[in-house]
Amino acid sequence: MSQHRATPPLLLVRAPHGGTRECEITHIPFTIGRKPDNDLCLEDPAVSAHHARIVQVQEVLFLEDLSSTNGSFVNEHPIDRRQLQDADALRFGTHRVIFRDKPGSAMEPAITGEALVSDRTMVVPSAAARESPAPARKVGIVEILSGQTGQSHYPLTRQVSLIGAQDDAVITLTGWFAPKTAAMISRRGDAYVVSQTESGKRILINGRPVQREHALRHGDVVEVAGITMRFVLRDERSHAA
Amino acid sequence: MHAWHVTHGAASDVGLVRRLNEDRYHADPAAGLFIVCDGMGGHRAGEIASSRAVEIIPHHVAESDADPSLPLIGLSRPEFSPAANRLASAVRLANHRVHQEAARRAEYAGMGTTVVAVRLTGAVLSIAHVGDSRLYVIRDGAVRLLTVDHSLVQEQVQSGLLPAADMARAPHRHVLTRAVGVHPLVDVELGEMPVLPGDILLLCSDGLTAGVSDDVILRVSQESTDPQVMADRLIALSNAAGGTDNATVIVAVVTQRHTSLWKRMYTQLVSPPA
Repeated sequence: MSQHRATPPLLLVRAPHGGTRECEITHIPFTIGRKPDNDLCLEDPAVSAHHARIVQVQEVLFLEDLSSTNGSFVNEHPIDRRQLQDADALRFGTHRVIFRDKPGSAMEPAITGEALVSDRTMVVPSAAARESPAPARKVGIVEILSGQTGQSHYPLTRQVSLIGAQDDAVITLTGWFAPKTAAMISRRGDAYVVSQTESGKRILINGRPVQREHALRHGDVVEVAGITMRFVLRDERSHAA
Repeated sequence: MHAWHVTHGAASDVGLVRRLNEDRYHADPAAGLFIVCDGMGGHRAGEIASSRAVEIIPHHVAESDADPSLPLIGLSRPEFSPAANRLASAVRLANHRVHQEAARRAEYAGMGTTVVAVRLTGAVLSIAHVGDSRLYVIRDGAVRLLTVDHSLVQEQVQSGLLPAADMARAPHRHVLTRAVGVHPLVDVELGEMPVLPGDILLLCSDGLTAGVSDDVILRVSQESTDPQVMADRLIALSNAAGGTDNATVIVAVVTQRHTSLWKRMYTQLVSPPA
């Protein structure tokens, strides 16, 4: 820390459930994160292990985000790197922090209270798991039986998997005249559905043409755009191995 | 290349009982973006929350269209496309801003809003939702609900405590388990689906489905081909059924623009895949 400062700058830390503490910035760089090896350790699942740090350039302090998952905010602007000014309101995860460059100076920043849930608000915490529903137990895989594709088999882990020559296709067709979009396979709950695209390519399932969309069953053989492939369902775990 | 074309109609009404309409919507067929928000909170806070959400979400989406390197807010989920992750990021930003505003002003304390937002990118529809506003698709003569309400009654139905038939009459049917703006962080539910020509997408607030059943929605969609006529008709039916709540609906019809065989062949010849 710069020796010119009579009193070191200060962070006023407010936890989401009301606790407040002070933390002096006594050396630079000053690190902020969830792990105990940080200068300011915030026990908050929304804070990354090494979330942000304060650095000094000449007399000026900067807050730098260390590519954290949920970002660092100064006065509610997401930042990569931002000069800090007295009374700036910082946020990491659900923790709010006020930066005081000159502690004890005239202006005392107000730490706004957390929005309290009033009687009129009709939101309660979910009894179910906070995270989105667990992924489907089975994952679909297509094995390429014949035709020009990038790989010999493709796990269908995405919500929508495109078959085609387009850049974002999951099942990439490599033939010279391959259509950009030939068909799409999408997850619907535990099931998979194949659907036609704007290319209008004909889709055959077990040798029979299907229109628009069709549910896939384990072992189905799908033909489209010169590719023949077999659809199988496997346990997610065995696939991950 | 714009093979997909969307026409839409939208309508929103205060209903017959409430004094304020706290629902807001945003419809941008050129961007393929449609949003319905149902605000809640005392005084005028509910309409503040829903108004903010329908401003912030399109703005964030448009900014990232202009600059795809714009960082995402929150975790990116690899099973979803960049477009779907972007939509979730926009909803998280709306949550953050609404929550901040609620924290700053006492009269806005606790305000929040539901969000159901869809974006059509090529043939793939990205779906983001929080709360009990819904997305339906009408395809091949059937209505299908694509979102699962984040509400107490929905949880009770899923855990077997409440018969599904009693959902609409349960006294606590307005209690949400998730909303935008109420907590510092929000868990946005994401979905993704390929569209087919002729699909009719229907986004609505819970005020509509309080009085209008799936069967009625299907019938209205078959009585006209004009999405604005469908939207107006659905709101009229909602009010005829009592109009107990604000009701908002967006009807978006997805069609495919015809491209000739010659044009398709030409496109393939001049731009062979890399």
